[in-house]
Amino acid sequence: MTKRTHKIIVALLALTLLFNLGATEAGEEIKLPPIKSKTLSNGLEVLVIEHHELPVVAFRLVLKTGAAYDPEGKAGLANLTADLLRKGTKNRSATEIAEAIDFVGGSLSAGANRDATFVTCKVLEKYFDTGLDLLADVVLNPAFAEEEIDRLKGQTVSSLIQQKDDPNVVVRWEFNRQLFGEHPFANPLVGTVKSLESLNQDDIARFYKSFYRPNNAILCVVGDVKSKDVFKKVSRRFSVWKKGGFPKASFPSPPPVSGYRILLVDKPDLTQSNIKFGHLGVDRSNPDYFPLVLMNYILGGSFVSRLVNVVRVEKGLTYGIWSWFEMNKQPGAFAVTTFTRNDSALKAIEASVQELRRIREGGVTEEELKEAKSFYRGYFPLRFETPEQIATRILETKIYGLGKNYLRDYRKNMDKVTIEEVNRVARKYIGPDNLVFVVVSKAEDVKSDLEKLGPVEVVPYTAIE
Amino acid sequence: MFRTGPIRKSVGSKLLFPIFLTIFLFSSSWGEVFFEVGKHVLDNGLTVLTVEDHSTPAISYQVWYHVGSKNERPGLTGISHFLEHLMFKGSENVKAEEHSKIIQANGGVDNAWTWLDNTTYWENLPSDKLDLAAFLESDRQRSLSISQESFDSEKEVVKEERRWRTDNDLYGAMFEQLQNLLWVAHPYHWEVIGFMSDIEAITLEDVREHYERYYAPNNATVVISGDFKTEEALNVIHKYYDDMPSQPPPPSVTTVEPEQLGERRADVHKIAQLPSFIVGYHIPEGGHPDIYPLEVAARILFTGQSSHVYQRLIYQDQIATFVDGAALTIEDPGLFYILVGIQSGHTTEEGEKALYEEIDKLKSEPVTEKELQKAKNQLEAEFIFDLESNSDKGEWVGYYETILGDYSIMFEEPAKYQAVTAEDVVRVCKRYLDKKNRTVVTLIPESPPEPGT
Repeated sequence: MTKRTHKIIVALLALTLLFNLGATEAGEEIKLPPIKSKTLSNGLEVLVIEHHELPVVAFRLVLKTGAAYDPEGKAGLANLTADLLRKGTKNRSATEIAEAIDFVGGSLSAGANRDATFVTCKVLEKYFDTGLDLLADVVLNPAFAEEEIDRLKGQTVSSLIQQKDDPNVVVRWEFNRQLFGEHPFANPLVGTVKSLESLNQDDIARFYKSFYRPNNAILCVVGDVKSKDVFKKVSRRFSVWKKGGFPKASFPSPPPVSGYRILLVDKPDLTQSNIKFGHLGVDRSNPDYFPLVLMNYILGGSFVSRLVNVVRVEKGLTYGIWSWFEMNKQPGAFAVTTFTRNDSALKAIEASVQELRRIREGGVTEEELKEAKSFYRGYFPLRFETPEQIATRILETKIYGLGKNYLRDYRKNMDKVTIEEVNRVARKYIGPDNLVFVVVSKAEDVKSDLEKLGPVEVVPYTAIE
Repeated sequence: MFRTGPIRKSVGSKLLFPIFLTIFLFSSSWGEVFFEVGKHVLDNGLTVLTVEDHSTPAISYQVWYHVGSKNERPGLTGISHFLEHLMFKGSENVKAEEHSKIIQANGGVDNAWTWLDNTTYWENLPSDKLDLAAFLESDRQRSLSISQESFDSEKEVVKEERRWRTDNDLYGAMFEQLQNLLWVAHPYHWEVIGFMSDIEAITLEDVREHYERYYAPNNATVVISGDFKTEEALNVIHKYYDDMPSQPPPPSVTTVEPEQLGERRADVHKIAQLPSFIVGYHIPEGGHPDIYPLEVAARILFTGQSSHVYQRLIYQDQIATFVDGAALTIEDPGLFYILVGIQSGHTTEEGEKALYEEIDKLKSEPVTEKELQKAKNQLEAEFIFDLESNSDKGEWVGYYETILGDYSIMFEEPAKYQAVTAEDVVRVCKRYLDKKNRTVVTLIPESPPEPGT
């Protein structure tokens, strides 16, 4: 009940142009916040953005290595290593670290996604030194004590089992497992019960030693600060960090999908089916990025998409439906996700697949493309409102090597996409005939319906890893 | 953090000269944040609050209706939220589904949310789109027009939402039980989403009545925050809202929840692998003087990894996977809740015992000065972190104005937190976090039936 009952909105029908759609003139004069940067002699790149709206400072330290580098059988290593940083250093115990950051009302956390590890800290500006000291200490001097490793592993394993009680989580994890096979993206970022149990102090220390290097890192500081002071204080604390060479990984290819592969995860008290389906997508540096973003916005990337219009508005089958391309350094998934009552699972899937087919074969309309471009154009400045948003945008360009003019040229590049390009990427990257489906539901209710699509494999939800 | 007060009903009052209050949010020891709020009341009773902030070329436009699930009755539970969905189904000059489509095509995003005491609609847009927001919001406030067909299909969407949030979500199901059990008489008894059979039974006529009764200008507050000039914004507001007629004030909720005389417990049986439990205690309404020490107690117990409950249940005893607790302060007397997930090999009994021991420690001995200061530092930081975006600022101002009756109460909060003493914390913990005032809902995991049986 504490959740606000947000409404996921929808829309469509012929648009009466009451207002001039394309012209968001206010956006024209957007200036990106000036970024000051400096690289320390050990290779640490330091970025400072002054943002004086509130007396707040956000630190974000990024290591350009994430869970994609989890060794085989050791899923969860990047994440557990990050999580252990604040569980004790050579100077402070776990409880002392907690006490110090909590006393100033700040936050300090660490975790990994596929491509990077983030250590973030946020404090009121008057506690700048406390925040920076703690950040530097946990990054440079983690203790990785056996006792803390065991404690955190136990907690992570239990929480993983607990998360599997949520069908929204099961559908996501199992979809990745089906799609990616031996590729590391098959595993949840936190790992599996089995892989977590195999992780030991040596694994953690080795991962840390290999990848926690200043020449693999960027520190971004955004907030009510003076850049000169920041550079001075940062270099005082981080100069001792030793650079190193770090290994590069190679990745097995995900198995090809041909035809329909359908997995039904049985949780027999569900009255609603959680559905996720899709196929392999693209990586973040794909040159078709801009037409892909626009195409997906029209297909299922917004509250006014075709999928929302058909499956929610016209048919009343769901409260929410989305499609997206997950873009990492390695190609991620293209997927559609939704949920509907058990007896309409097949209907929702068929209607969604039909939309994939329609955009692939029929393309988009000029009107749809114009509105999509207009959205990205107008919304651009709204994505730079808070220090954290600014840091996120800028670090994304660094992690994925998007170039220093990426943000400056973003709207220009979005604007110049043609309808031919959008239709071309729909044909190229949307494959309605080769799909992996995962449905979490009461198998008895939906199995025979799903069999109309193809052979269905059923597993009890307790059996999945 | 909220306070109840008489709801400002300005029906028929003249347009007031804009009153600008420049307020320092925090005394010197609490930092230097401040912002100006302008307040204007139209002849028809519509309250308009303006917060200028030129740091990003964007605005947030919010409309707060003072109606939520507590204004419903059995048989019509969930109608406020259902109406919220239907507000996207068209009005005199805006066709069904067009509202969001127009907003997005103008580089904005929009949504709405329904809560126990309020229903709020918002759009975040580039700064030159204020006129558009005011046009769209005023049109659906004045002339909502829903076809039977879109009513019927949206009902299915709302039912799917209930299945998703409540019926098929473990914590959703547990929170519904907690609410059902904790409030016997007061309409907080039901979830915002409403009971399934009520959603099913609600008619278009019911919704229309609800809309007519509660969506009048004198029951609404418009909050505009961001990059605009107040004078120009007010001209826009006059253009779209001046001719909207006011209505008789809607009836207020008079039911008072009787005192709880002993612990109440319920079990929820669901297919799951690990147990968890929720504990709830009745606490006073937002703004009551006891709320401030209760908020301090919540920080000491739950905020951060150094908090008492984290240290005990997760770090030392390793009984729990997560703990979450907070004072939910609303317009009528509210709720102090604690949610605990249990680790493999442990039980909810162990979890409850350890939790109550930690709570009892706060009753037997005053916390140290340092701990008290820590909780106050946390409240200060939360307050400032919550003001980073236009929409955050608008939400705070709108909440205080709608639920507590006056936005300016927000600026008195820091002093009230500063004044809390260690003895106050002991007193409120003894008074409210007491076994007789406690309701507990336990998730009992069931195994899936063996296939073929």
